[in-house]
Amino acid sequence: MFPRFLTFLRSLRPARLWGGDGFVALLCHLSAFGLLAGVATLVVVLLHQGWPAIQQLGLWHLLASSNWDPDRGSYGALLFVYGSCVTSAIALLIAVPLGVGTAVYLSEIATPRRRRVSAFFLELLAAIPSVVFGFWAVEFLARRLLGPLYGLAGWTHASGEGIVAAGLVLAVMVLPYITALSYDACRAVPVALREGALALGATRWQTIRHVVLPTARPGIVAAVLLALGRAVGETMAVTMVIGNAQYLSFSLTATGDTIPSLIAKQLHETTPQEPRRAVLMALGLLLLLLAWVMNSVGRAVVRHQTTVASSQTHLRRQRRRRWSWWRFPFRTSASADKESPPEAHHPEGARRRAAWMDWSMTQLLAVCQWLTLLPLFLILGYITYRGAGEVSWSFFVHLPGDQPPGLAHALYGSALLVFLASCVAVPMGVLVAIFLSEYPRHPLNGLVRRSAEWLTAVPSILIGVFGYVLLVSPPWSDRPWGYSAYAGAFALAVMMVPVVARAAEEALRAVPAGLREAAAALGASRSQTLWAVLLPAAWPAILTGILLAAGRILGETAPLILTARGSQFFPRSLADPTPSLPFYVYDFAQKPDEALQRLAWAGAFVLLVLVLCINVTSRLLSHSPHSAR
Amino acid sequence: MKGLPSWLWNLSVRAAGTRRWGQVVAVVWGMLVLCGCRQGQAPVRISAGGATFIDPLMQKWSAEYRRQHGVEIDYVAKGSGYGITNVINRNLTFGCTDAPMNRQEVETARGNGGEVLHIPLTLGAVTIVYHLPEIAELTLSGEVLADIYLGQIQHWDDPRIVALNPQAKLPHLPVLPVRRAEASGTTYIFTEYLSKRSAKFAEAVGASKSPKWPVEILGKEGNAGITAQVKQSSGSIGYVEFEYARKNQLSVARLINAAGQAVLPEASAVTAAAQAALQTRPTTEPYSLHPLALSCTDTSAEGAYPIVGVSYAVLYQKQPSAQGKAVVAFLKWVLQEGQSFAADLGYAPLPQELAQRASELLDRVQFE
Repeated sequence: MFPRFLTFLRSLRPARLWGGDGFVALLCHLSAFGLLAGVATLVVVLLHQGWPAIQQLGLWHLLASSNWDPDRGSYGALLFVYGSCVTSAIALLIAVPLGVGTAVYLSEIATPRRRRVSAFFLELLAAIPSVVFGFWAVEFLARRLLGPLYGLAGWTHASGEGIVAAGLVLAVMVLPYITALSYDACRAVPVALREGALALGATRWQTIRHVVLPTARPGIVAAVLLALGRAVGETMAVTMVIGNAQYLSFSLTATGDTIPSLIAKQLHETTPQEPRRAVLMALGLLLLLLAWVMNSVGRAVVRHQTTVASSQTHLRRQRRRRWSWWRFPFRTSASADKESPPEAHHPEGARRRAAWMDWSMTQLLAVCQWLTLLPLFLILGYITYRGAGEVSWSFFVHLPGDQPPGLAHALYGSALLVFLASCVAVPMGVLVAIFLSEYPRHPLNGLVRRSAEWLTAVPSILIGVFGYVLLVSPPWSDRPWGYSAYAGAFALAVMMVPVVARAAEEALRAVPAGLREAAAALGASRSQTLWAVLLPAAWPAILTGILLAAGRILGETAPLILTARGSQFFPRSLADPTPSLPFYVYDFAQKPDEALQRLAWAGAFVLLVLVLCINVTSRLLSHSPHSAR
Repeated sequence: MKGLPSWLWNLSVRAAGTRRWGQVVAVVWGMLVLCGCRQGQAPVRISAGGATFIDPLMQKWSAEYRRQHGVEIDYVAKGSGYGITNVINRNLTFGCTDAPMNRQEVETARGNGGEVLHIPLTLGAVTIVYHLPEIAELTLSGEVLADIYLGQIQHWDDPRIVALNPQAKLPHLPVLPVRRAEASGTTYIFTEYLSKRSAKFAEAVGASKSPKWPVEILGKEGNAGITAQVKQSSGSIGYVEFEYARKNQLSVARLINAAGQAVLPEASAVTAAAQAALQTRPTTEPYSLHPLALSCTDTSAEGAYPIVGVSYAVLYQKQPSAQGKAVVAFLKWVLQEGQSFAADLGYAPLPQELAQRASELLDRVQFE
């Protein structure tokens, strides 16, 4: 520890920082340390605010009692923990078989063309903002699908909202992640293994079942863990459909509540002196821990997989553990999944059976793929059906109080927030990326990279809490600063930095080493190489990353509820409460007035179009022949 | 997918390219400066928020006041609990609530920014709305409502409801009560009324802005959320301000008051309740903590609607000069000219006497 610290101190020596390329180095280091400080502050804020609750009430009281009654000083949060767990479990139960099936189908069976098209659609599904998912889930999934179904079954919950609806919408939201990560895991299986199996006479399904899936299993487990971390932290879509009943009921048709949804609804109606504030913070801390554990374990599994030297020994190890319960999710679902024994007596029958199995499993996997893409079309179709007709000129130029009402201020506010956040996050993200890729031996390099990964995994509502505590009512200031564009942009920037950093780092690493060497051979200094060679070469890929990140934060609602709030008017200065499009979609989605409902649909449609346009544009940019140089 | 045409590609990379950083920075500063400049000429804006009970009327006042006086009232409705705590936290200049601050809140506020004033703004009825397509008229009592929210009445054809509505053909549908998901003054008034009428309810739930309900009840945000839910789902029942029921054409239940009459939440019935409540000075908390706080639930007057709420504006007695003067001017306008809009929107104007005293209370605001 100590020698490492010494090296770190030495790296701060002025001569090293200022000599030669000092300024760029200084900026890089400052950004990287800023990132570290940000993550540390986030933890410290939650600990500082949440610790009194853990200390006074005890973890046991918080987690084991379901008596949530703040008026009488009882803070049993079991029902929220239960809600979070059950919705995530339902989501995974549905999304894992579908996602893995789709991934296997795309990786092993689909033609390259279909693979490309499917990947494109999956990326679109991943880009849809969570408030749009929530709105769709309330209006379509709960009201038009589950409600009537429950009615047919004779259950009393006519509205269809509840734990199942929340689990379903979460399943749709994590599907693209599970699919993409499992797909990567399947593609990483060496071709030689597949060819070997096929050469031995295995059918395609047998190859998948006995070679591809066992080898890709660590990657798939990692995908599931990462998806679980995401599902646990999801706020808006869940809070809109789960029904908000603060009552513990183990029925599947029950309504409930989750931790993020509780924080989003109640944090801004507590005073810092109240014990309820501390309890909410403690629950936030728990959420953060959960998300980080899932994320770290998931990433550790991936790293482990990539460092396993020989997949052969790996495979052998898998075989020994054949019957462990977490082996492969399909085992329970595929009924005819018995091992086909080497039937020497009836080779013809065995072959026919294998062929039939191969055919049917191929069909099943294809169905998985269609089922995975189905929600995308349902959402796009339904939002377009309800929203496209409601978009009019007044939507873009009027305020909600005008006749006819519009959301001009929200559009402006959203643009302002995303712009401000980008102003901070883009330079900082790129500088962090430069630090990560250009100073690989810096003692803090690993830590900075890990913090960036952790920051990506932080549930968005906690970033809102972070902004709320730091910038809305800062504990050190004797006058609160109030809801403002600053606070909102800060929260969005915190979400954006790690995404930009990651994209930029990958882009910088992809620049051929020859370019760098040529620049050095010509006598260019480090910063000259960076400005004149590396950044221009990596710029298209960085731009793609920035656009994707901007598209993502454009649709974020949860962090803005607690920071920028909303406003009936155009923001006049950056210190004013600032409206944003997702906030008003969420707000108006709950209104009974026809006019406001229509406005919400129009808003959801416009938001969807904006986000998808940004997504497609960035993808076109990255696919451009020029970037492949 | 071949990608973009090359000229478009070149253009976009050029536009965002590293060589143009200077221009990008200039544009950034331009926008920031623009934001800063607009601040100077802009009208005064007051950041407010809180109760959804008064939201329709407040938006009307805001629009009118902006037209007449050029001052913008930025009212964001998020529930009374939000209004109270954000005033205490000093994130809002004034907040609205239908439940006066309790002792604990008053003490927290005292530590944060001194005394808080409660200015009554309007009267409204907490209306019981229900969704039963065939049933145009329904009479309920406090006891029956308490049993519904305690989960003891499960179906609409329960004998206790039938006893109050002998003519109505009540269907065998499950009763689906809806509650507020966030801390709400409307909930406070409603639970206070139920607690007065039913000892069981008082013991199990009690009067609170965000009580612990003993059964699984769907929670919705805002008066608007409950209205939307009742509008959509058959068999549901909820409690909202009368304006929400009127505007969305929901069926409204008659309630049996303390005098034994079945009353609709009309303006006259609301005013009657308030007049009765004004006769005596309340002795129970939280009403006794504030000079102008009134409890208008379950009054014994003839023809009074039993669940009536007063919506208050809460603000610190000490105000920063510019914002504070604008707020006081606005609230005084509300107490005089503003009252004429109340009746059009399903609220009842404050009794003259109360409005007068509220104006006098406003004079106590000190400017720093």
